[in-house]
Amino acid sequence: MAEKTIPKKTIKSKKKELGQLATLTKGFIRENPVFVYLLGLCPALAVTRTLETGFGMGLLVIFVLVMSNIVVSLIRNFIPTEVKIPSYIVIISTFVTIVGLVTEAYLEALHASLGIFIPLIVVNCLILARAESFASKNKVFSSVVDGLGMGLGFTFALMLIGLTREFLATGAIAYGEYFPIGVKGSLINFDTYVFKMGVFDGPAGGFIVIGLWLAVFSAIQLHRQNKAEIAKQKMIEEKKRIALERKRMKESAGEQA
Amino acid sequence: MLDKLKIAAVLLIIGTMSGLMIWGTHTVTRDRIEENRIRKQYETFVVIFPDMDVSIIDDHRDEVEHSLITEIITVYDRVGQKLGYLYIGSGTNTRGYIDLVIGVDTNFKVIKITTSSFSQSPGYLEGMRDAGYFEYFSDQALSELDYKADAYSGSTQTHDLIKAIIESAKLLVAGDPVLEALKDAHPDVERYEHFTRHFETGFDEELILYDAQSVIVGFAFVGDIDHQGTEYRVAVVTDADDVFKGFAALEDDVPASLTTALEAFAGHVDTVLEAIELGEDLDAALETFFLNAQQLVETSERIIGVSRLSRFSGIYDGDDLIGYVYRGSIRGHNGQLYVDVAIGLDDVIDVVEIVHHVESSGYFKDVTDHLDDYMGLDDPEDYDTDVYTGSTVSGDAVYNVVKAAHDYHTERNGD
Repeated sequence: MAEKTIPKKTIKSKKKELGQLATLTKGFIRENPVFVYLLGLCPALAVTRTLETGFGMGLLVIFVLVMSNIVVSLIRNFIPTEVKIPSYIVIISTFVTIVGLVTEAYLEALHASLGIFIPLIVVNCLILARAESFASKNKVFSSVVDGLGMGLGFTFALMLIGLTREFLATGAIAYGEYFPIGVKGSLINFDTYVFKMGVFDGPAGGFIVIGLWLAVFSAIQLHRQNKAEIAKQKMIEEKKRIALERKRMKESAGEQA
Repeated sequence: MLDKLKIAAVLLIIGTMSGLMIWGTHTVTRDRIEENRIRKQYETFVVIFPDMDVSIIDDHRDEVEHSLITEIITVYDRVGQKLGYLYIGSGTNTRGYIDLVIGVDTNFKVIKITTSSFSQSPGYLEGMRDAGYFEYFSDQALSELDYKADAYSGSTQTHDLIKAIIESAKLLVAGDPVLEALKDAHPDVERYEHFTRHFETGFDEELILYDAQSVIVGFAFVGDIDHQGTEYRVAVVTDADDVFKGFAALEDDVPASLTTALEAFAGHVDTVLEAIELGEDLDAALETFFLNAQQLVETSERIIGVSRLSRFSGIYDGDDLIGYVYRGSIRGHNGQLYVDVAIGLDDVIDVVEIVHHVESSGYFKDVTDHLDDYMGLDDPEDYDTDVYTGSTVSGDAVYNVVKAAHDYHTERNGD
């Protein structure tokens, strides 16, 4: 039976697909912008009083991140080095202005709630960092995937913080308050004083919740590193054992001869 | 050279594309944003008039030119009965804008005053709300509205802006013949405030004149002229630089002979002798009035450190001249300060008064509490400047005006 050979092109495509998938999902845990890189902490504190506002800010950041990555990647070979950063800032601020106008027109409640933090997306380090470190050096599709991945990770972080703060502060998770979905209500509602801790509605609570989630993510990172370290040690010992066995077999074969 | 051109071209293209994208988005969203603004405004209206029928309103926008009030709306309920009026005003200062809605009933009694939108720091407005600033207005007559004095400490500029809008509404309600007369002499005037003076001069009332943006545009000095046995209130109007603008007769039934004398004098303010030759019915009372007015419009001199200083009035004890009043304008901490300094013929400082300021009230209190310390000094350098260590910029500004006025006075009177 002839050996089945896998064409190199397929291997390369599969590797690329896996790479793109990894890029898309890296932002959730492994390279989460808020909990691992500590980027975008200002909106993470300021707009996460509720799950919906955190989600809303995340959506806006995804749009700005993806669109600015596309444009930066498209024109990366034409921008002189001397004006790289000013050009990126202009591009990012264009898309921030666009999201500001669109939310003011169609998502008025969200716009009022997010307030000054919509224009402040311009100075979110995450966006400029991805433009500078990734989009300016990679093709358009990869930049889109990177932007989407980091944006989704940022949104995930904001939603985690928002969910925790809203639940602890009000005992409920509201929906329909800021997005015009036609219905308003609460996903859950524990109307007990245990969950109505007003401190989580304010800045102090924001810091506490971010600190707690940072601890969780750090623990996960540490666990993974330890696991990888243990696996690496095992592999080294296995290789040593195999090498030792081979040596013994050679020696005994030599003696017999 | 080519590199620089390339950089310029790249930036130009990026800037142009950005501009086009933003313009396009703005064009698409503009109407929707305006609809949202109007709907939000109507939500504020419904808070004031819960029974109002939004479909039946009379908009009197055409009636409100040259005022901080931008719209007047007559409000009706669902059966067409008039409920009251909404005065919608807008103003800006260095801290941003405020859109104010003043709701009054059909008797022009305040139902509620509230902000529909603003860009001032939210903390200032929240502090004022917590102190009951807006609740205080309820049930007061709009034309005689006063303000809760202890509710805007620390938010003086925000209060001043709100007050300016409310004062504009007051004038629209009450109508004001004084304002009309002042506008004839000085068309930029949109409102005025009374200033109470604490010493006798040839004038017994002074008005500070503001334009639509609450910037000082001049002053009016009001006195009684006894003409042919009847007293008439007449104001001498100057601009902010003490340049004479004209006379304003503040009453309707001023006789033609007085009007002629005022007009004749207005055309020849350099010398009262020429006015006497022209004004056939000029009597002693008029002559005194005109002498005071002439002193008012003497050319002011620019003193280093002080924006403008002018000698604008004599001080009288009966008919005897006993001193002069000097007015200086100078940059304080937050804006322009106007200070009056009264100095006797013996070169002793009588009174120092603050005519207008935009300083923070908490800090400026250190300065105003110690203005009386200037009284009796014949040398401003004897004043203890340590008393206002917490408000050095404002205190030094006042001190500089006092010193400049005293130097000017001793130099002029020494001639």
